[in-house]
Amino acid sequence: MSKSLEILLQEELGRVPAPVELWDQVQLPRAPRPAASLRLVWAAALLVVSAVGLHAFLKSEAVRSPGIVRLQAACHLCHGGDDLQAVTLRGVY
Amino acid sequence: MVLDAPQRELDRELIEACQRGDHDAFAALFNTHQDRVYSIALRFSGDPSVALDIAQDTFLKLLSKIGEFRGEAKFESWLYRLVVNSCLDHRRAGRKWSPLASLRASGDSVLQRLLRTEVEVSVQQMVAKLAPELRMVVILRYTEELSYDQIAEILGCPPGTVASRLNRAHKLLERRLRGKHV
Repeated sequence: MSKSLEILLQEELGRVPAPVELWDQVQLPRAPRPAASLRLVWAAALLVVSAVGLHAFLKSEAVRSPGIVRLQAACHLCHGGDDLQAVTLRGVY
Repeated sequence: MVLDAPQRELDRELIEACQRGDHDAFAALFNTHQDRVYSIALRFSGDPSVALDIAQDTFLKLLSKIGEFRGEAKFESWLYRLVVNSCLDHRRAGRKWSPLASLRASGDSVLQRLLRTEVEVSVQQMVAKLAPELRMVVILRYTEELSYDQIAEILGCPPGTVASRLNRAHKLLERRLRGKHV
């Protein structure tokens, strides 16, 4: 290695003073990065769409097997009324 | 650049106070080491805003892990490892870095651009183009003036690896800078 390269690197890669805002940034809790937030929103939206789709599919008559009905009946939030009654009437329980 | 004995003793006291949750001790530790941490981050990323993020991460890690520091290794080496890992983590996180983008940003004043010499920009551009493992060795050697043994301890590799990486970096830099400034 030439001596001039070493000198050049020493001169050009020396230490620099940290900006004053570094201390403020260290003291403040970091806000989530926009990219990370966006990914989170997309994941949540996908989850909601999947849940709604699955719900609609399971509610259709085509998949009304006793097992599925029992599964639906377990979710009293959506199926607490009519479905539970229907299940009882069909003698699932 | 190695700390002298009185500074090391002061660091030890500050670390112990920091471990007890003393905020002023953390502030003092920050003041002592902020330029060191920021300089490595800036030389590695080539971007002041990314360097600020890396330095912030490093000090937040320092604050959260200071309780784990038992003093088996030197505090400086421990801190260097934190900043090196933060640099590599930021790079792995896939953030698009534009080496020296902000140095060339149009937001700079005409005076600032005039003052910035061609040699400074080209040397830093060439360093920014090195592979991360070569770049980090160059930075620890020339920004921090560390010995091969110290760099090896920080990076967790044999001193021979440090020497060969530095040799490769020198050859690449010499070739790229030939005819310009070397």
